[in-house]
Amino acid sequence: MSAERIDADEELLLSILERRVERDSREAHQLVERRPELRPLLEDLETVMHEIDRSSASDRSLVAGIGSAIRDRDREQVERFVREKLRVAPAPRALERRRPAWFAVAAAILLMAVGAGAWLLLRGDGRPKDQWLGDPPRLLEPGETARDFTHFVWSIPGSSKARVELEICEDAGAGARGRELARHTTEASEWSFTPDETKAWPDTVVWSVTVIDAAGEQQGLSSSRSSRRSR
Amino acid sequence: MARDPLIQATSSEYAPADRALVGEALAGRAESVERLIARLACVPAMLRAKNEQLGQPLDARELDEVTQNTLGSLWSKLARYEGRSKLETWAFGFCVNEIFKALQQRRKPRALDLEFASSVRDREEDDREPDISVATIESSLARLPAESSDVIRARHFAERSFEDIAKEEGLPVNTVKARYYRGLTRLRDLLAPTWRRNML
Repeated sequence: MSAERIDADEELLLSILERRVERDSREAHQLVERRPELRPLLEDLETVMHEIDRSSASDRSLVAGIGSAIRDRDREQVERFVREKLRVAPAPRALERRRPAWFAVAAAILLMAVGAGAWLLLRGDGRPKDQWLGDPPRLLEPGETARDFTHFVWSIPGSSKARVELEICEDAGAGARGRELARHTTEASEWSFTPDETKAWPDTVVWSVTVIDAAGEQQGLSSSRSSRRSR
Repeated sequence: MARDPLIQATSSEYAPADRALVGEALAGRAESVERLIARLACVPAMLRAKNEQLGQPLDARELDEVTQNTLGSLWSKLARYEGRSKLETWAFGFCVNEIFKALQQRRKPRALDLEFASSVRDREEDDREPDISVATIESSLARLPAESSDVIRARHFAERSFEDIAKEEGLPVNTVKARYYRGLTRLRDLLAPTWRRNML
């Protein structure tokens, strides 16, 4: 008997327990005739399943009615926790997909390349960079904005034709996104605005670039905070 | 090793809107963060309710610790939330795991004592013998290997199919069935003394 396999008799027993096979069926009778030791087991397991069902129904009822049991203190406790998490590690990558191990290796190499590139850029022109929020971007290199928000630039290593969504929001504090100011989808690696379009924007914005695959799924997101006076 | 609770949902509970909410909140959208906080406020409440259902084995301080652990555990998996169930249903799996983890870690695991557990009666009356309490069922489930208890909870609490669970876990269906079957037989061993005593 393997712990990770069940044999045909055990599978039939499960089918009987789950009423996919009738208890009075010929198959069921043949099973207990062939293996009489399974008869008391079958009876016991029916009781076990009944009790688990009762316990599960109780849990479902608990979850369904939980709304009225929530206290102000619960919300405050959760708020403290979430705010702290977002402050310390703002963005565990949204809707991250499980990836095979080779992806982790590729991502590590990519991150090193991105880091080296960013260092070279910083060293080259000596300008202060925008403040990056969250984990190092997996798919995007740091972007830049023009002084008056008229130009946003980013790059996607290894992918010249990726479709991305640029989103610019007010800074709601601690890097959180506030009201949306602009949103555009493009295959380019930059987007320009006229000074008139951006003059009403606040002095600090949070902007992000999300890579969208052919199926319309998000495949990577990078977020940054920029200030008009940051450079 | 921290595991994703397999408690998900039936297709009728598939919650793409919750998935989008989590994605936006993790991306830092202020309004979504607010909504996520409001939704996750159910976690302390569910832990309190579950503790009460189990006969309050945890005191207020312990419950506070379990709440923090539950939120931490849930947060570490939040980016992998796929909206297969409502956020509250998904969070409940973490609540159950953490509350029993806390009870197991006690030096004197009072709630895992079947004598104690069987003294806690359900509010719902059920005429059918052997009348085992929810606390007894839960504490026995907590004694199983995680891979078995997760499958049993997924089957009975979330009413998911073996095929669905297997797909989620990347396992052969037969392996999932085996874990379920072994878990049931082990539960039988744990529960039988209680129900036989109750039926006397």
